[in-house]
Amino acid sequence: MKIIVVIPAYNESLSVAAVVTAVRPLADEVIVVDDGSSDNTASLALSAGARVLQHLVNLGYGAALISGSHEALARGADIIVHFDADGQFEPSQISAVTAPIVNNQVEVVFGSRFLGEVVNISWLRLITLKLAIYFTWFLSGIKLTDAHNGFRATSRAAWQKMKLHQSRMAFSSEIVDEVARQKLHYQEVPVKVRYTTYSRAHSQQGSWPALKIIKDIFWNKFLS
Amino acid sequence: MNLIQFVLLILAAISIWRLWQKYLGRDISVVEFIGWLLFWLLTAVVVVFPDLASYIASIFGVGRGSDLVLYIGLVLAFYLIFRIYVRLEKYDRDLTVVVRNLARAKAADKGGETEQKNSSATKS
Repeated sequence: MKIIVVIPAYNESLSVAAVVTAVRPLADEVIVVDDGSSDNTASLALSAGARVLQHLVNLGYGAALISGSHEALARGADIIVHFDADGQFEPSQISAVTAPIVNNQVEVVFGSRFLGEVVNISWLRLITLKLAIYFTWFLSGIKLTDAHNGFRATSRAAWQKMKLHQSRMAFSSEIVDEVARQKLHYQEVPVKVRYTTYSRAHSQQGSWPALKIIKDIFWNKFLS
Repeated sequence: MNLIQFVLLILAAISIWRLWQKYLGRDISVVEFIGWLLFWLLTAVVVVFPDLASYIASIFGVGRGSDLVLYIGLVLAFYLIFRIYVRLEKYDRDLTVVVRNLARAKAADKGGETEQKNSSATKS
């Protein structure tokens, strides 16, 4: 089975090379999508051995994952793994996240930091993530233990079935919604998420981004 | 004639003049031209004969003519904002497809050579 890891990256020059180097031996291929970075994220990812796609302008987390996943499909991926560039996930857990698909048990796997381990999380982020669980449950009918985790895997067939459009962070909710709509078999797998000063500074914090996500989802679902 | 009527009439005249130029330059369609022309002509008529607005307002059960004009203006403005919002979302999606296809067409490996290929249109 060909496993391709897709890593969206926006101005991650401090961490992207280390992440790619750590992930490469554990996957058949690593695709980094440089989402319009103003630093040298792309060249560092390239030197570290990733295949690199560059968005000319910043489109957002979801758009980068969709670009990378399309590329992964075109390159014959049987399993697409989504991973973060800021080093908050453990590369060694890729095999655990892909195992249920390899063993033909499910088509989609969501990583869960609340089944697994979470280190150094801010209280505001914790509350926002817990609320996101109920929000996603309300929208999709699926109650996960961790609704906005960027560590996930989908089978080739599952990715082809899902219709994903969200360019920004709402992508993480949309994919759960699509799993429900397409009646795909899914499973949650415990993963470790380690927040560092770097990853905390680099990811969107607090509740304001969460409100933007809610707006994006409702716009997409009911208006357009 | 009040000063405000004078100013509004000049504004309407300038708008119609610019509209006509845009139409000549084929920047707007016939339908758009006629629509906006009617809008500004109606505005001019109401400015010259304010009592007309009051008369129409009384038919609709609105107290004053100026109130009716305000209501209509507000509804029109909201509608236009909605149209612009929808258009922006569409451009957003189109831009995403363009940027994505460019990124995939120029995807590079460590080998150094940038791979040129005809990337098929993406689904999203």
